[in-house]
Amino acid sequence: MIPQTLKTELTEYVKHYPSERVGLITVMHKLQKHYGGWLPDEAIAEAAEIVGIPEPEVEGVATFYNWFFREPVGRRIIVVCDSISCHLCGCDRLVEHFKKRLGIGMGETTADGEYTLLPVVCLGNCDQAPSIMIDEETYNRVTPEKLDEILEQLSAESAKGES
Amino acid sequence: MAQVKVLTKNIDLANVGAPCDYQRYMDNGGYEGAKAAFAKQPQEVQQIVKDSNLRGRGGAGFPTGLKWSFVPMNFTGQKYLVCNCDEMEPGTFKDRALLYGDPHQLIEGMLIAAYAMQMTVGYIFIRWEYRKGAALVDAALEEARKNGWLGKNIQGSGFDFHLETHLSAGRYICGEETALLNSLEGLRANPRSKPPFPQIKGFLGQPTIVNNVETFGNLPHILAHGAEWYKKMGTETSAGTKIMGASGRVKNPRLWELPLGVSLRELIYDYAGGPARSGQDIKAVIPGGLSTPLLVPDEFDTLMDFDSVAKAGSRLGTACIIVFDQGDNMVEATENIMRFYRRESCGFCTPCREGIPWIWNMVNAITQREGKEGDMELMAEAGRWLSHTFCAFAPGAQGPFLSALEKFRGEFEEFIRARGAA
Amino acid sequence: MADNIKITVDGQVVETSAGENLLQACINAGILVPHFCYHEALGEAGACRLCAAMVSASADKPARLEMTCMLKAADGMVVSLNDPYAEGFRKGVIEDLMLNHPHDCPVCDEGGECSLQDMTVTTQHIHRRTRFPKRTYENQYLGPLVHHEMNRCITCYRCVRYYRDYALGDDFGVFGSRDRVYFGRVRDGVLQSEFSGNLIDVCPTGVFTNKIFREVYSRPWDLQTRRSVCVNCSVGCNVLPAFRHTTFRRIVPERNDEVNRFFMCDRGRYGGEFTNVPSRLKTARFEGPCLPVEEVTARTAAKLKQIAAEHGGGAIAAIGSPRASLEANAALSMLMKSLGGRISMFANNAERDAVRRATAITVSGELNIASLPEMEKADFVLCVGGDVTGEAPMMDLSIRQAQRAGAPVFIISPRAGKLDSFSTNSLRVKPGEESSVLDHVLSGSVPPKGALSGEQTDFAEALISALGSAKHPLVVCSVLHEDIGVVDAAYWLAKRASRLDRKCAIAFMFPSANSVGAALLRDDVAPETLHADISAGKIKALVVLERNLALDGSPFSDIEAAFSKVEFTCAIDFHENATTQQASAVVPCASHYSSFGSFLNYEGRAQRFDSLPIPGEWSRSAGEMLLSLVEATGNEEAIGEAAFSDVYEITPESNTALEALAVGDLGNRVRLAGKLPVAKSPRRNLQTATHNGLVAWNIELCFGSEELSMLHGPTRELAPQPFVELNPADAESRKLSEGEVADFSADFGLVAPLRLNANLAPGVIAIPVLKTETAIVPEEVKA
Repeated sequence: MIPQTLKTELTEYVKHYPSERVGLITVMHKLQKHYGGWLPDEAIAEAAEIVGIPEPEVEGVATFYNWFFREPVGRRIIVVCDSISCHLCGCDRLVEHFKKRLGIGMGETTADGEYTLLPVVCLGNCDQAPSIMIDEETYNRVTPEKLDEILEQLSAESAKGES
Repeated sequence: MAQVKVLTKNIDLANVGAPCDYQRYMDNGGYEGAKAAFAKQPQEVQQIVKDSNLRGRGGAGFPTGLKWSFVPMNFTGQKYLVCNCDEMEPGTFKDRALLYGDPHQLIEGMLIAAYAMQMTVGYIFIRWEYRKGAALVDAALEEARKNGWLGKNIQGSGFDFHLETHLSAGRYICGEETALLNSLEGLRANPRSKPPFPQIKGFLGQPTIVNNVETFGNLPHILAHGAEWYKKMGTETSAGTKIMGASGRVKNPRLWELPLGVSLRELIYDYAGGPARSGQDIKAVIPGGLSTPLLVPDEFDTLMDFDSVAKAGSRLGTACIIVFDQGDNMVEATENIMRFYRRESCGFCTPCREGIPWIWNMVNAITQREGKEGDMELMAEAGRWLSHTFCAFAPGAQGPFLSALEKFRGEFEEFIRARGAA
Repeated sequence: MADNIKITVDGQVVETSAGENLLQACINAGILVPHFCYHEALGEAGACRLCAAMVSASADKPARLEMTCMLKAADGMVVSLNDPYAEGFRKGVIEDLMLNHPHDCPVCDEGGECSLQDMTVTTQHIHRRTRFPKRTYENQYLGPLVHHEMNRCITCYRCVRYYRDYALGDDFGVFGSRDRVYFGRVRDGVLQSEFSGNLIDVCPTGVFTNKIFREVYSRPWDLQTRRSVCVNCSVGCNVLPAFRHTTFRRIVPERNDEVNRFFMCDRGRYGGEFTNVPSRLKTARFEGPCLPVEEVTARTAAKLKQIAAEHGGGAIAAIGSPRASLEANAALSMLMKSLGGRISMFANNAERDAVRRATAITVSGELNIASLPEMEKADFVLCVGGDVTGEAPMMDLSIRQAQRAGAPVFIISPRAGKLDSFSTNSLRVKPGEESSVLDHVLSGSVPPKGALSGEQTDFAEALISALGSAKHPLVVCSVLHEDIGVVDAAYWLAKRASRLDRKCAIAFMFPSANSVGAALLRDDVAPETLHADISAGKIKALVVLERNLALDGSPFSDIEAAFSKVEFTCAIDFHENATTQQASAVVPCASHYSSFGSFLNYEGRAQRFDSLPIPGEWSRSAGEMLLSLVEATGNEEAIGEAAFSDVYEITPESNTALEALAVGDLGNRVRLAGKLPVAKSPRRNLQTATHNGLVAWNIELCFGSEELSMLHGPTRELAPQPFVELNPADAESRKLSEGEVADFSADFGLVAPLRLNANLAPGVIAIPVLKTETAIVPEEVKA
């Protein structure tokens, strides 16, 4: 169950569109945020109710788009661009480095639930390849060394957040 | 040819920093195009855009004025205007610069288009990864509303325009305009059959125009300075300027605003500074985002305009070139390319859904030194049928794939001969 | 009518109409165009890419490879399927589809009727050229009817286009993307649509197969079939029951362009399992012992003659059956005629009145009776007094098509059914009140204040407005609730709504497959009069044809008590039931799908059905059994050329047409202009008794309320356990809550768990009609 305030907010939000279903993807993004980064079965049912469509329609959308997750993901999502420009500029090295450093390959989540690693379609930073994105932040011209720095900084942030 | 500053007059392409805010935008001739449009009848604005020879900047190069002309102007119901900012074409990073650098230019462009076709509701469809940019656009929209450039009775013209952003959830196919409309409606982003075209039955079944960010970016300047001024830039059939870019194995990868018709060679060697790695000459270029066939050195004199690149057997596409040098392995590059198309196919029609993964399987096997005699023929045969799919996605995959197979056959054969060596 | 045009397909000139789907135009001309995703009912999708051909606008224009399903036929078009490039492409498409398709053809339950298999051979894709592993999926449990085998899927999207878009089911979808597209439910569970079995037919390969058929599987080419007509409701869908070694295996719909065309409901598809019911009667009995059929027939005839001689013909009566053929009922009628006895065709007087009235309206020819395809084209639908999904499921599917095309759907009934979720306006009223609301609509003006509630006035106003602008309005009315007032109200509404420029169509949902046929036959005595005569000891002999009096709502439900008053009773049926158990003599007959004969469906459409010859003295049609009984009474002269004279006497205009009617014909709509008078003014409905502020309403269920589909098989499993429903307000005032076992034994004779239903009219207790009888196994089977 989502809080009534969120439900009311989303129900009102979808009404501003000429058809409530237009708001589906935004509703799903917001529910995904609420449920800790993924969409459990319950979220599918909630979205269906808010938008007023059958559940299979929501499930069809949830399983179509790259940024909707039907399985739990890490607290942070790391996406590595593996499209052609980043491929030429060494994104495979970054993936290998992640494997070494975090012990996870593409599509996997670290045992502590901190990171999920995924490939992503060209991030539009081809002039500064290779490019990765962690949550909302984009990092360019990433090298294994730079990656270590980024990860250390992030874990410091997380530690700070917890204390 | 020298760089020009039309769409980028408020943007430093070498370093896109904070977006141009409303004040700076106005100080630099902002919303002059919109003012010029409001002084004219909607049909006159359409005519100016038609006369300017502006062609769509999303990749297909369809004449914008002609596209607009299919919108039924006597239609009394709701019509919609949509901006395609789902930039996901590998090697393409021009819309990002325009979105992050000068959101007001986009808003003004959309306002002009909306007025020209009397569309009172618009959406800017933005890929999820550009959500920071979407926030910048939201701020600019708020500025525009506050200053009377959006909302009701804009600048006393009696014209209303409601514009908002819409974030996607990540799928390359959303760049295809009918798939984008399905996505905007909250559906799976499978392309729709055409006809009916979106101009007749688009968003929610209503007349709709979908244009690219850069296409909209041209409109304020065309309206402010006129069609004749605009046509002086570029070539006879490809008017205006183009945000071009280079990535991959060049010394100076970045974007430039250049008149259409600059030569590919000039772009590679003068602007992008030639090969990045010493001793490794450039051996191939994908001229316009991933979905365009490869060009090799003896084709580098091709001019970067819609018709010249088409004549050379490829497409101008997004005019963001991807450069390969002698040290790059074209078999591995092809594996990467086909992996991309395999992953992003929407799965609607057979040759795309089944054929592309099969081709990838074969290319991948070859890179693993598990290729077999006959694979080349089999891949070419499967690749041949990619031209007859439901939408342009698989033909987009076919371009780089078949050109790589044809132009770098030797590299593939070498891998196949090396079977078991890895 | 669209303009006729000519196109050329591989040199053959094909005539079609301008704008016709090019692929369909080729199919209509008998040209095989390979295809998967296109379906005549579902239209084109452009997904499979198999129907490719070289097409040019005219002979002098260049040809391009096009998907024929995505083009509209235009005059002068030149199509080449044989072009080597097009052939190569189609072969490529098949190769793509076969990359991941399992090679389980030898054991696949779709084998022999698999479109993918046919197309693979047709395109000559004979060698596998891929060496990569195939993708696999997990299957889902979809309930007792449909088996799921996703690995076979070729992603043509037909299933989801059928289930979601066409049948408007909301528990099925398409999931995933790229080369992992999945069709099914969000999670395992029973498919909720009453039309789920059609997935089996729309799937071009074996993803969805018949779960019952695959349990005892036969190769389709080993099955023997004869065209028949479904017996599970009054729609009369054409079907193809299949047998193997005389055992019934399955039913598939058979195309009749004026009836069910492509589809059928699950009750019809799976309801035929009664053919294999363990309580199947295979021996005859006479006052106890099992005897050869001829012996029982002879003794029964002698007994009937003896009673006629002793007490006169007035002491003999028969009860016919609306689920038996015209021929069987006519033979029973003949038997009574020869003995001077009387025949009764109905379960009770209310049913008799309602069915006869609705039949009179149906066959009078005054109003257009809508066929299913005509229903789909309606631009306004009003459903009166029942639940279409439970009473005539295929009408529901047709109304959904009208709704999809934009027709407003109005429903007025005591309880919301599934169709209500697609309705424009639904109004809940107490049973019988439908007519008072419709009367106001009839007057064509807004009712005076106070005559109707606000809600009723709104409904009536909206209805008047929607009806006013309709060009093809349709009224669908229930007869199952046995309310002649409702029948009349629907009739008068349709009559008044018919103007010079438009006719309002009507369709009645009748209780049984041959209700209309039964209503047109001789019917000497009302059920309640007959019952009174029996109770008074006036009846000495009673013959019952294919009717279980325990379940049909007749006054004879206490069979033992009724039969004890009668000296000799004879039951003719295909299975042992409460009626046969109490009868002095039992004559077995063939079950429906092993019988031949004719039904008149809800339109009055006469349709012949056929059967395979099944060996055994117990496997002759009831009509034949009865004729031998007539013969045994010594009245052979009654038989012969005029064997079915009772049918023909009543339907003289249709005499010739009926005689010529053959199995597989579209069927003739029997019309008797001026023969059966229709009442001149609306008759008030019967008032239903109110007990403690509640009036009972029967819930007619798709699964549970139809007798034969409740005998055996998966349709029985899908029927709910007994329950009662109240409006939450009524429950609250009675201090009853959801789920508690409510005792209504004093007023309504039942104790059952309570369900609250806000979509039930206040003051109504809804009780599902569950035609369950403890399965009875005949003696010889037990041994």
